[in-house]
Amino acid sequence: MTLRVRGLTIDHGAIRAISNATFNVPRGSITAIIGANGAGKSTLLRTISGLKRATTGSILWDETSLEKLQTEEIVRSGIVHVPEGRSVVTELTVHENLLLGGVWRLRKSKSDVYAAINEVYELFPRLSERKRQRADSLSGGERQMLAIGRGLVARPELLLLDEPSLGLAPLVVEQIFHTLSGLQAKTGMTILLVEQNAMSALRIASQGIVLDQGRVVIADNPQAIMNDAALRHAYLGF
Amino acid sequence: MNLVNTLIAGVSIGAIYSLIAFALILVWRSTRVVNFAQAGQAAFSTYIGLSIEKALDNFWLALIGAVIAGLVVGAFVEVVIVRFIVKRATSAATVTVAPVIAMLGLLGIFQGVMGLIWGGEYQAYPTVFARDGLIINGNQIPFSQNDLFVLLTVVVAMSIAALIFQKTSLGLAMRAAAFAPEVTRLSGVRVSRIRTLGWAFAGGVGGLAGVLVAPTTFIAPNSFDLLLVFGFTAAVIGGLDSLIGGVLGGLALGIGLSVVTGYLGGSYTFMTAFVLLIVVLLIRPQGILGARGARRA
Repeated sequence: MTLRVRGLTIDHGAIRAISNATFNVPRGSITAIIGANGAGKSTLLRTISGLKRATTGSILWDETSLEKLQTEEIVRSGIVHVPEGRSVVTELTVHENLLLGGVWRLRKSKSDVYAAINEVYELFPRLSERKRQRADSLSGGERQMLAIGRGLVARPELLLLDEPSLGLAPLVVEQIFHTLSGLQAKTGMTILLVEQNAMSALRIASQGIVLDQGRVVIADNPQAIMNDAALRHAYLGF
Repeated sequence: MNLVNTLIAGVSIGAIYSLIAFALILVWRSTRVVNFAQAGQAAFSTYIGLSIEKALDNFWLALIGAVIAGLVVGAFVEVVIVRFIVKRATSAATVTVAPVIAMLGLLGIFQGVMGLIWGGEYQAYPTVFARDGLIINGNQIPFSQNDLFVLLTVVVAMSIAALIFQKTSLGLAMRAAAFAPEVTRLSGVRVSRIRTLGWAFAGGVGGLAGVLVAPTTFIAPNSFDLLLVFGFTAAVIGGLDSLIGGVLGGLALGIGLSVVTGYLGGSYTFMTAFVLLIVVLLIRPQGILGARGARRA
């Protein structure tokens, strides 16, 4: 399924966060949205997952328009958002956090939820070692793995990832991005990734979108973006 | 009165405080509203129980009826009133104040309606259990068959609650929604339904507390107001975010107040509860079992 964003404008009170954005996230792609802090990246993801409402424009998930749907229903339609800041439920154990990711489909497909949890444990063995620990006892990197793992247990068709590298050591970032790209290749899942860490994101992406002050500057293949010196200097800072 | 007897005398009323604390904490965790109307909801449910009792002359059906009435009233309050107040209160000041005032107002409305339906005077609530103290080794202790029934019922109810919370997916969703509603919604859980269920459970537990305590306190539209204060104190002692803390807080408060009543006299009981409330807030505002920083919201 393809996500199509058409003429999307989003306001934060009097401040325009996203201005007339149009782009596609093709099925099976890893699309990286990059841009400076405050470029409107998180707002964009929050609007796709229904946590925030757009001012105008449309978001189409194949034939379904998402603008009026509740977050819970958007998740159930296959779009899973892992928000910024290692979003786990700190009061629950690691295992409970993963189970939470599949709790809505537990009645219909219990065995698949448990299979998905086991796949997460294989993907991130450190979570498996810490199954029974409360999530607030995890390191930053482990929490990010848990947040992504919770998203994966829903078996998303489209995974929205907000700044998975934020505040993590370069080696951990490397590992998480490597895992993501391997996972995508294996499952064919679509990933929409929002990152300040442009280099790491573009390296695994099949499409790059540069966002500047709420506007889409360019949507192209990552190599073209990285080779364009002017673009790099102006928006990516390297 | 010896100390052991004084301690025993506080156990069953403490168990009732535990139930009220449990109901208040359940609602606080899910919605961040201190439900002062709980006293009115519990009294209303107890009146329903009393009406069933009078019509069918069956204690057990009355008890079940009161719990069901509590569930329904709890869900009703959330769906019809609380949901909209919480949605409309957006500024920092109104988020804190609006629900509290609304719940106090709702308590008044409940009491008014109950007065219209059942009258304002105290009515006796029957129990099938003896209310005079059990005799052990020839000595009468301040703990009756009815107290034993109250205690066992509370233990069973709280065990069922613990099972639901720890072992079922509904319980997992309720805990997650209480602590991280956004992450829970992003996990596909319909959080607003979970919230309604939380209010319903709390209402049912309040109804249970009502029928358990009514044989002792009798029932009038405002007869549970004091119970609410003690339940709230127990909830604060336990840390407003911890269900287990609230249950333990209730027992501790019941036993503690019994000691005060036994040694200093009944006129000190009410005051002591408030002193305790304030001392806990000063020394350990997160409660005995509450998480550090839990009083943020």
